[in-house]
Amino acid sequence: MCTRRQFLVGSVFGLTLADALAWGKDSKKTKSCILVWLNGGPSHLDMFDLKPDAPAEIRGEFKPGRSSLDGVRVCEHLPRIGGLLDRCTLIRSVTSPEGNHDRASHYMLTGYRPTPALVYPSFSSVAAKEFGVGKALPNVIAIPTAPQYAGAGYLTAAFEPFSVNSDPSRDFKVKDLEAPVGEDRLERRRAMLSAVDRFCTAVEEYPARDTFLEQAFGLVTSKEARAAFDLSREEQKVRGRYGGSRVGQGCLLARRLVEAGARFVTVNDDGWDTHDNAGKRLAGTFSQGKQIYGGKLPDLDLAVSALLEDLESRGLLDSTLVMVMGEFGRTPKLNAVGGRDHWPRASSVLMAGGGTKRGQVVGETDAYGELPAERPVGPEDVLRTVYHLLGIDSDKEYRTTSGRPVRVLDKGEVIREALA
Amino acid sequence: MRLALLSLVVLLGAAPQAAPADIDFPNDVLPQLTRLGCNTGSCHGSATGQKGFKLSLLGYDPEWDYAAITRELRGRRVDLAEPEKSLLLRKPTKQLKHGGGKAMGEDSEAHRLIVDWLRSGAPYRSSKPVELVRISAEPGKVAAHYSDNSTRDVTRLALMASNDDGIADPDGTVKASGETSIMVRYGGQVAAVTAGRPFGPKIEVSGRRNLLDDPINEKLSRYGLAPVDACDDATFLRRVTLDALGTIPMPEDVAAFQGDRDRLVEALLDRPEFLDHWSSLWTKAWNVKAPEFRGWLREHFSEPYDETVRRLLVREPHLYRSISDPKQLAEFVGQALLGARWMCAQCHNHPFERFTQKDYYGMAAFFARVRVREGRVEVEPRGELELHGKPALPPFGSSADRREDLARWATASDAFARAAANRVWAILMGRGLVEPVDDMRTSNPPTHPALLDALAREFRKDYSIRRLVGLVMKSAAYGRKCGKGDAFYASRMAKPLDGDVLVRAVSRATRGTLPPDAVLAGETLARTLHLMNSADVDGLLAPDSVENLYLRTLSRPPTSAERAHWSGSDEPYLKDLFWALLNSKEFGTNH
Repeated sequence: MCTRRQFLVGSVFGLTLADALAWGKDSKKTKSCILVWLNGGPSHLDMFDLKPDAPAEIRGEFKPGRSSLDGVRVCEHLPRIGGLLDRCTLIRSVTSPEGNHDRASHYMLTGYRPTPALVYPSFSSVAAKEFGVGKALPNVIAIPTAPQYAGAGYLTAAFEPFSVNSDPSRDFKVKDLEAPVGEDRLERRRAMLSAVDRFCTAVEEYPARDTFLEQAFGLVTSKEARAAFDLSREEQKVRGRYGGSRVGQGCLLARRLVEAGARFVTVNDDGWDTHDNAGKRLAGTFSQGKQIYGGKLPDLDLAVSALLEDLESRGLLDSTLVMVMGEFGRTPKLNAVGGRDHWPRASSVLMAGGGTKRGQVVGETDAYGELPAERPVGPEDVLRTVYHLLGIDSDKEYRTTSGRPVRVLDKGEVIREALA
Repeated sequence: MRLALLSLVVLLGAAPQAAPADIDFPNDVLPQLTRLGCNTGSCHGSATGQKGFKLSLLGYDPEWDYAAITRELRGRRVDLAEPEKSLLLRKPTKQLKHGGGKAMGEDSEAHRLIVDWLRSGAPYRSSKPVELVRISAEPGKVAAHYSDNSTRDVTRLALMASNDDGIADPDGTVKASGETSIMVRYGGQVAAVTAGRPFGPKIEVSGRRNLLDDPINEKLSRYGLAPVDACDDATFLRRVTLDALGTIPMPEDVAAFQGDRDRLVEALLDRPEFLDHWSSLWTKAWNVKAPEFRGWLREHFSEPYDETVRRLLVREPHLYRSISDPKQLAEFVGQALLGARWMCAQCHNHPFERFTQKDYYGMAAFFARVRVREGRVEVEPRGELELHGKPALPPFGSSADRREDLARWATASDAFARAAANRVWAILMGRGLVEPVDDMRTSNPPTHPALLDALAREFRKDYSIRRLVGLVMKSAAYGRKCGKGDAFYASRMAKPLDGDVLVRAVSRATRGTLPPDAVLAGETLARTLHLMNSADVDGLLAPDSVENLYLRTLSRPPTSAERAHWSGSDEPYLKDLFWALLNSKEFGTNH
C-alpha cells in the first residue's frame, strides 16, 4: 500500500509512519477538488508542452527538463512537478475556439460557450449545489477571490464560492469570523432577526440570503471551521515548503480547508497573461510599476509539488482531485516583445489525485503546439471528467430562474484515459 | 438525373426559369455547407481552419470559400470529371479520413446538389446571378429575398437558435407560456423572430401613468398577465430614494412625504446626491478605471449626455489614461457607448451581425494616432494600424483629429440613444429591455421594441439622463409592488443593495460612518458575515425606540403587530433589535 516514496514524502511533512500507512485505506471517501486557476492563460509551450525542435521563435527561452515519466519532458523551471508527473494525468490536447479572457474563462469553468441569454454555473458552484453549501465550513471556497465566471451563473447567489478576500501570502486573515457578542447573545439576535423577517411582507423571496445567514451562523459558532482558515497553525517548515507566494500559501490553505471538509477550493493565481517578456515573467523576477512578480513557474512548481506531496502524505490525494489550468494556452509564435498572446486552440491541463490515473499523458499537439494532433478534448470533456470523478451526474437537469431546463453539461465525454 | 435535379430545384424553391443544372455557389452550394456545420468556429470556420482547409466563419466570405474549395491544393478538392471523387465529397461522407466524422450522407440533398454543381463546371455564379438582399422570418419559416425581387423559402437551410429553449424550440415550436426570441441566420444575414404563448386569455390592463406604460400594458394584456397593484407610499419613497440618491430616506423624509410621487421624483433628482450616485453607476457601467474619472463625470453629468461623451472622446485625457490601445478604445465605443460588442470582429467577421473585421479595424483607426505621454494626450500627424499588411483607415471623416469625426458620428447615432436608454431602464427596473445591456443587435431583440423606441425618442429630445430617469420613475410599471419580478413587468423584483449603497444606508441608519472598504459588495457570504459580525457595524449600534429604529432602518413606522411584538424591550434588547433590522432582508434590498 505504501511505497518507499510515499513514506519519504510523509517524513518531509513531519508525519509518522502510521500516518503515512493510513494512506489509501479509505478510498471511498467523499471527494474534494482543488482547482489551481492560472488566471490570464498559462503558456502550454513554456510549461507542459515544450517544442525543443521547433524554431527559436516558437520554442522560446526554456529548455525541457526531465520528469518521472519516461520520455515525457516538462519545462526546466518545473522540476518538482516534473518529478511528480508519475502521479499525474497531463492532458496536452485541450482545444477551444474562445480567445477572449472572459469568454474563454466562461467556457473552461462552466463547460458551456458563452451565450447572451444565460450565464452558466461554474463547476465549483455545481459542486456547491450538489454537495450543499456547507453547514459550518463553507463547502466551496475561493482564495483569495473567485475568477470571473467561477460563480453561480443562473443558480442562486447562495452557490457562489466563499471568497476569503485576503492574500494568504501576506497578513492573512479572513474577516468577520468572530462574533462581537457572546454565544447566548448571538442566539438571541438570531431569534430576533427571524422575527423581523417573519413580519416582512415587502420581499417575497430571497433564498440566497437565507442560505447565507444559516451559513454565517454555522461558521461563527464552529471553532473547528474557523481554525481551518488559520494558516498560522501550520509549521514554518511546511509553510516554507509551499513557497512564500500567493499561489503557494493559497495551496497550503486549500489543503487545510479540504482536510477540514471543504469540497471545492479554488486557488486563483494572477499574472499568467504574459503578452510580453514571457521569459522573465515566467522564470525570473519581473517588476511593473509598483508590482513585483516572482517567477511564475518557480512559484507554481513549489506550490503544486508541495500540495501533491502533502496530500499524499496525509492520505488525501486519492480523495482530492487537483486541477491545474487556465482559460487558454498561448500563441506558439513569440510576438515582437518576447511574449505570447492568447491561443485557445491548444492548451494543457494537469490533473492529479481524486481517482485520476497516475503517470498518464493524454493527447499531443502538432509540431509547433498549434493544434491537437492526437485526441483533441474540449473544455466540456475536461469538466465531464471532473464531474465523473467527483460523483456528479453531468446529465442532471437544473432549472434556470425562468424555469428553463438546462443540463449540468450538454456535451462532452469523460476522458477515459484519465481515470485510474 | 435531369428529372431528379429539377425536382430538387423545385424543392429549394428556386426561380422556375433557372436552367436545371444552373447552380450558384453563394446562393446554393454554400448554404448547404453552412447547414451541415462545415464552417462553424469549431470546424473549418475556425481562424486556422482544420487540416489546412479553412472556410470563412459561417460563410460570411463566399469568394474566399469558393477559392478555398476550387483552387487550393491545386484544385484537388474538386474533381470536375468525376465529381463523386472530389475531396469535397469524399471527406465529409467519410470515404476518406475526416476529423469531423460523417457530416454528409451519400444520398443526401447536399451531396446531389454538389455533384450537379461540379458536373456543371463548378461555377461561382449561375448564369443569372442574383444577390441575397435580406432575409425575413416568422416562427418556423425563413424566406430569402434576392436582388431580382425573387423570394425563396430557405427554412431548411437557415440556422436557427432559440434564446430560451424552455419557451420555444429553434423551429418555432412553443413549449411553455412566456416569450423568447429565435435568432435566424442565412447567407450572412440575420433576423430575429419572437415566439411565445400567453398565460391566459387577453385581459384589460389599466393603470397608465405615462407613455412608457402603453407598450408594457399592451403586452401584459396580450399575454393575459394581470399586473400587481401599486406599492404603498412608504415603499415608493424608499425605492425612489435608493434609486435616485443611492441611500435610504431619513425619518423626517418619511414624515414629510404626502404621496405626490411625481413631485417627489422631481425633488430627488434635483439633489446633488443624484449626480454623485448616477455618475458612480455610470462609471461602473463603463468600467473606466482612471481614478479621477468619476469626479470628472460627476462635474459634467447634468450636461447633455451627447456633449459629455463628445468631450470625453475628444477633449479630455481620462479615457485615454484608462485605455490606450486603439482596438480597446474602439471596443469601448462599441460596448460602452453604442451597446454593441465588436470584439469578435477583431479576429473574424462577426458571425451574428454585419460587422466585419474591416469595420473593426476601421473603428480602431480613429484612435491610431492618439498617444498618452505622462498623462497627457497627444495626437500625432501620422501612424496607422494594419490589417492583413495594409493600413486600416477610418471609414469616414477628414478631420485632423480623427476622434472628432468618430465622436460626431457615434453621438448622433440611433444606437447611442438606445444604448443609454436601455442602460437607464436596466438600472431602474432590474433588467434591460435588451440583455445583456451592451449586446444590442438584430439577433438579440428587445423584449418591448416600442418601449425602447419611445425611451430613445424621448432621450434624443435633450439627452438628459436626469429627465429619462424621471420618466421611468413616474411610470406605473416602476411603481408596482414587488413580487417574483418578470420580463413582462407585471411586478418588480426586489434587488439586493449594491455594496456602496449598503454602506451609505448603514451609515445613515446608524448615524455613524462605515469605512468605505467595508466588505459589502455583491451578494455574498462575506457580506452577510460583515453586517452580522464586524466590530465596525457593531460599534455603531446604539439603542433607540422601536418606532425610531424602524423608521431609521426600514423607512417606515412599525406595524401594530411589530409594535406589539417588541413592546417592553430593554436597552440591550433594543440594540439587538437594531442589529436584527440591519440584517433583515427588508433592509438589505431595494423592494
